[in-house]
Amino acid sequence: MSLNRRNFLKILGISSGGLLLKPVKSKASNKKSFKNEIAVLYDASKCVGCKSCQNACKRVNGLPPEISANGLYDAPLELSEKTWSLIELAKPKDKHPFFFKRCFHCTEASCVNVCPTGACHHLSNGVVVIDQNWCIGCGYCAQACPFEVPHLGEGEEKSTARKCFLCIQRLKKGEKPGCVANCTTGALQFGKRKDLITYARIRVDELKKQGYENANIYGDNELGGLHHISILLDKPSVYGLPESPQVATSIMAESWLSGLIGAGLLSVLIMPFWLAFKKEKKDSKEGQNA
Amino acid sequence: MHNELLWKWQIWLYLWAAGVAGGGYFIASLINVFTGFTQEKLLKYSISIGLPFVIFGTLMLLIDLGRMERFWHLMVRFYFHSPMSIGTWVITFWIICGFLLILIWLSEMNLPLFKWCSRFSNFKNLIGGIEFVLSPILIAYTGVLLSCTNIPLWKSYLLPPLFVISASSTGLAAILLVMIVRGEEIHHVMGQTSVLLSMFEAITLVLFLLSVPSHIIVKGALSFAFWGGVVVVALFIPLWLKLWNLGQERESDKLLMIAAWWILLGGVILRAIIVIGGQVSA
Ligand code: SF4
Ligand code: SF4
Repeated sequence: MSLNRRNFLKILGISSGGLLLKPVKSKASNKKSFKNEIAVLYDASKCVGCKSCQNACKRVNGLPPEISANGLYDAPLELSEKTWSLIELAKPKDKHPFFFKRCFHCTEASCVNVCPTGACHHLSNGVVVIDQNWCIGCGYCAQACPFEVPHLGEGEEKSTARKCFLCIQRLKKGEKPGCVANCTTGALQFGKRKDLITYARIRVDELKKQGYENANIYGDNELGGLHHISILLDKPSVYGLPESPQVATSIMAESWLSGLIGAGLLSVLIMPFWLAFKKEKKDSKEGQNA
Repeated sequence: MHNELLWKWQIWLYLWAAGVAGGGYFIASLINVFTGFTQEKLLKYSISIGLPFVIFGTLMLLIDLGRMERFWHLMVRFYFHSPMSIGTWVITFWIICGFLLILIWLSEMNLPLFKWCSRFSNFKNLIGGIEFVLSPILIAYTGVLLSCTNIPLWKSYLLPPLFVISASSTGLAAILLVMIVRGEEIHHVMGQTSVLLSMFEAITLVLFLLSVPSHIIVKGALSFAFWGGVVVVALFIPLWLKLWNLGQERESDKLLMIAAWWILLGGVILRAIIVIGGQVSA
């Protein structure tokens, strides 16, 4: 059976109830610790921009190509429902200008928080998946993600939200995610998150010594810790990333409160007029009775 | 591809219709409470108008879903961290309570067909009270839904109060409109209340716009729709009509009715501009 898009969706759906996910309960994202936490590390200093990872993602997940306006197959420019990972050319005039963009599998995941059905959820290893059999295609996750990652399918399959799920079908077989397995330079690594963070810190120190004074880890602490961690040679904004991404529900309590305070103020505002009206009515009734 | 305009006209109609329903009942209940529970008629009007509105709004949301047939997935789980989940449940209970209230009122009219509903009558105050509590939550929800995203124009805790006040204004306008059409007596305080709401809405709108990157609305591509549709249609014209009316020796219901139409139309435009503007500028 070839792994085309339709098959992928089936597999993803089945796998949610299958072996890998069986012991894995979905977690609310406010739970900050995961068992067996895994991650992928992207080292921008080692990436040569060959796009093997990007192509592998399409291949292993059976994702169709992007077609340009003139009907030709084209290299994707942005993430979409059929492009889940992307090598982007960052702004710095440097010899390492690449960035690997895909779902960051955030710990404080906006998509998980806002999803009204629970279709978008964490696995116990920290990966964020969208259950294709449960998603209703409301698009809330897409509006909430600070990185504009989830996209809704269009045309025949306009329906559910799609994004990278870190190749859980491969992890189940003990394989690495497609992107990591096909990286040509070792810029992508897969492993325990703890180990990768330790490695990344050492690597950033090295890079700083080499003259990249802005080198940093993106994903160590952002949004409670990302599961797609990046070693960057420059500030995150240079790579088009928010310097301090916010979880979409960060102002939820204030929003509810201010809405209800608005309702309270409104009540106070109109109250005197209606109390006066009541008194007026009462007086006129008493006047009539007298 | 960007998720540009992922939420289209269905969503702004949904937010508007839910606002008219919840806002109308909220204002009607406040008036009923402040006048010593003498205005039940207003409650009846607000529910009779609100129910079709909220059902229409819910249908709008449903047709916007990528997988409409799975809408029931919203109804089998509850997530307190998801505004949409909270909103779905609030709307569901709002509709149930609204239907029960209608049945009770029908049974009070001694219609043989609805006699059996009199068994709910003992709970009328309780159900009415629940509906009163749910209404401000429902209208605040329409703002919280948008503010809990990563869209800069929406991410403000001043959006929910703006929608609360605008919803109350549109809800009252809908009640006024139907009452006038049916030839009911309109107390002058209704007109005053509507004026107060429009003024309060204008102030909140300014504060909201100052709290977000609102360039696209105020000066950018949507500025014409904003100044024409929101400032003139939703606020200035109805406010001017209502104030002028209040200044007359004999207040004209016709003028109030025209103002109510403008308020309702302005309510849709306000939501359309915010929903579109947020996505286009993101
Ligand atoms: S990057 Fe976006 S889609 Fe991925 S986990 Fe974070 S919030 Fe969700
Ligand atoms: S589109 Fe699907 S995954 Fe995203 S929030 Fe809606 S139900 Fe959840």
